[in-house]
Amino acid sequence: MNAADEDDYRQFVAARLEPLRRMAYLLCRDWHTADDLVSIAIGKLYRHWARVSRAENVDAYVRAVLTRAWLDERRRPWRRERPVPEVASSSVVAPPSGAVDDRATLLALLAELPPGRRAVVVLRFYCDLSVEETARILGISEGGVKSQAARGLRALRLLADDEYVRREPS
Amino acid sequence: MSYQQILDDAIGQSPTSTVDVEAVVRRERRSVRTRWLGAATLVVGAVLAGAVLAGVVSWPFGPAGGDRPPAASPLFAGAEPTEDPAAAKVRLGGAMRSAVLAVVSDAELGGNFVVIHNAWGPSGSSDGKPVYAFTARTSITRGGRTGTVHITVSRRATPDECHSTVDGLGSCVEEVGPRGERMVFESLVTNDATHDRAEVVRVDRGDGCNVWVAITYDGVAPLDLDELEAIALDPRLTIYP
Repeated sequence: MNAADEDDYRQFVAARLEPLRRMAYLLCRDWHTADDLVSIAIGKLYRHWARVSRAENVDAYVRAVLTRAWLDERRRPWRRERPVPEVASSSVVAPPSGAVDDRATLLALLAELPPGRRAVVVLRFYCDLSVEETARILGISEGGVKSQAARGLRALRLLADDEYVRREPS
Repeated sequence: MSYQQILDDAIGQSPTSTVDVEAVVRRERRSVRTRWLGAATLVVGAVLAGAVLAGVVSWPFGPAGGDRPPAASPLFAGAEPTEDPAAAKVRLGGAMRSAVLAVVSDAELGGNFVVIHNAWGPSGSSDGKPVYAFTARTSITRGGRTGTVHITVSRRATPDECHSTVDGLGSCVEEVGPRGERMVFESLVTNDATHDRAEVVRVDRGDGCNVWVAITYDGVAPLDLDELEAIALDPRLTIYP
């Protein structure tokens, strides 16, 4: 990469670093892991900058790398989550006794979603990506994105105060 | 209020970033130089191999060429398995043992592979459906070298690829397997409680399975990447018998 390209790369990363960290945090709920994921994403971006920077949507590329890195990291056999014998295929979360009245609760609810569904919710509703872009990043069908997004929101709404999450933005 | 605003509000103030952009740039520069060196070595090797072939010297290790089929098409999730999980656990436990011993018959396994069925599994499913991960591990000893073999057979759900700065990653190579499988080979330092290094082969197979075979070890690994690959490609390791 030449000096001019590196400058462009640095400018891009400086401008996107914070949004990427926050997106990563929504996925993994841990700031150290979030920073690791961002490092992975911008490292890969550096390697492919010459090609990617000419593409239409560099943001989509770096978000895709970040999301896949997170999904991948969860699969390490020695780092896996405590296994459970069987898990229901739907994201069942016990209804709360009260409303969602603080941000920690909302994040905890998000963390209850299965990883793929959480990724869809974050990409669709936090990163504001289209169904098509989300489907491309996750390698699933557009129908799958719509279905996962709907289920994810339904699970969140089950627990959310109507006043807090009242309507889907147009 | 949009969802973006709601979630942003929920995240609150970010702590100070520990992302070191300059360190990432330095590392990637080094990595680029290493790849160029590797490519140069390959070119020299290819030239030498060409010279050997031009001298009409027969290659003693099987047919030359060996064109591999094109890479697996963009990944689509595997189908949901229909086999009863309890039966699958028993079958796969035996299959894992057979697959390992078929490749390294001189190895001793510390016990049977006791398979855990984890519907969601350790992996994230990108299509939101369970990955049906069947996973097990056992210790292995071979020629005085010890380690732990980890095997996970699951539904293919997320594209396997290199993420070069995964914690402790020493090297990662993506290849195409003999039947077009998408394969990833990794060597890395782990934070496993018992061993400090790992070699991993991850294969997205055409039958819709994803197979991970890893060895964690100290010092010298009892299994190398080629052996892990051979295990991962064993057709008995499948959730679609």
